[in-house]
Amino acid sequence: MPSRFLELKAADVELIEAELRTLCARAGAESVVMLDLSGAVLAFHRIPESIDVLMFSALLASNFAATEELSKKLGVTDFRVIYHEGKRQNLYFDKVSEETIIVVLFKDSNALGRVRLFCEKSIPELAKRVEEITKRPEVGAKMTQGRDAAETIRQIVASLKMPKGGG
Amino acid sequence: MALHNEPARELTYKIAYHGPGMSGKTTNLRFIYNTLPGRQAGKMLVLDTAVERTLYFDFLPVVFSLPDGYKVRFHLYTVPGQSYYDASRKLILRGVDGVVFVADSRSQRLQDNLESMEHLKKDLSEMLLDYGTIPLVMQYNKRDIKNVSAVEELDGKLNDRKVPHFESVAVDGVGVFETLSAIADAVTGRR
Repeated sequence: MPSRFLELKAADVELIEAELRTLCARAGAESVVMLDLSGAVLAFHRIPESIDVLMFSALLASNFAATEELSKKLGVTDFRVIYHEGKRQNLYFDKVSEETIIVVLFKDSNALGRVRLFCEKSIPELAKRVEEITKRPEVGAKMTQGRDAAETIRQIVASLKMPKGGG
Repeated sequence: MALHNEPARELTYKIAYHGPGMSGKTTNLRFIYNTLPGRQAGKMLVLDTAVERTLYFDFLPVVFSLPDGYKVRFHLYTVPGQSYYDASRKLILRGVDGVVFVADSRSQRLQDNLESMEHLKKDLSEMLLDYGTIPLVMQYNKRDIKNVSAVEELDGKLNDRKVPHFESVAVDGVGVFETLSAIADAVTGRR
């Protein structure tokens, strides 16, 4: 069975990016990213070019998922926040919905309470939008582009001219 | 669950390479990374131990730009094979769109392959995914080594869904892209 799709429209991205921008400004943060716990990026604001956002998100999602699992094993309920304190920069993770989180990168000179407060203010709006997105009918599964990319991989197989793996 | 980002004109699929420890999952990703040009393969992340065993996961984003401006991304992950990583392994399967099961063909690893397949079924179930319907491809790796089980035996014992299977020597790249192609076909509905 082909994949099911989360459908992100222009209006979603605009709203989420605006909310992340507001959060960043109010919280005095460096950057913020919103992702789902499979590691896919939904939107971000001001991620420095030196950071590979795909790799960053894969690590953030797995970090959150691992800590969430740990909390379950310890019997902790309503787990939603991780705070990572670095020497100069800190990370604050907060849960938006069952499958999505935001992660804020902020300097040591900033107060954790301020970041936490404005995350809490932004999350209801973000959660509302995520709920709308998850209820939306899927378009991606009907699109031909995924199959076109699969065809590109077939062409790579043909071009490699390697001894064939039997199938 | 795949992601369709309409304004960015992107489709993103998540694929996990599962299988027993040291069966060649990371080697598959390394070959893809070393073969594709930089515009198609992103940075590869490897989180391994001092003895080259995957500690948590490996990650390789692969992207294909189409003539109509769309980008199709396949995010390739490996899971840690060793059974003592049970708790973290299933987390990588969260939201996965397709699975490649990399079996170690050596006859002495048959039991490990069987146990790993049972872990896959259990882990998918815990992640609320259905083993019976999720896109799946089998890869029987290390076919260049002596004392390997016959493909018919591996297929009979491991491939209860009779999904496509490939023989491979991942370290030399044999069968690696055929496997990737088959799982890409399956998750995109091409086949």
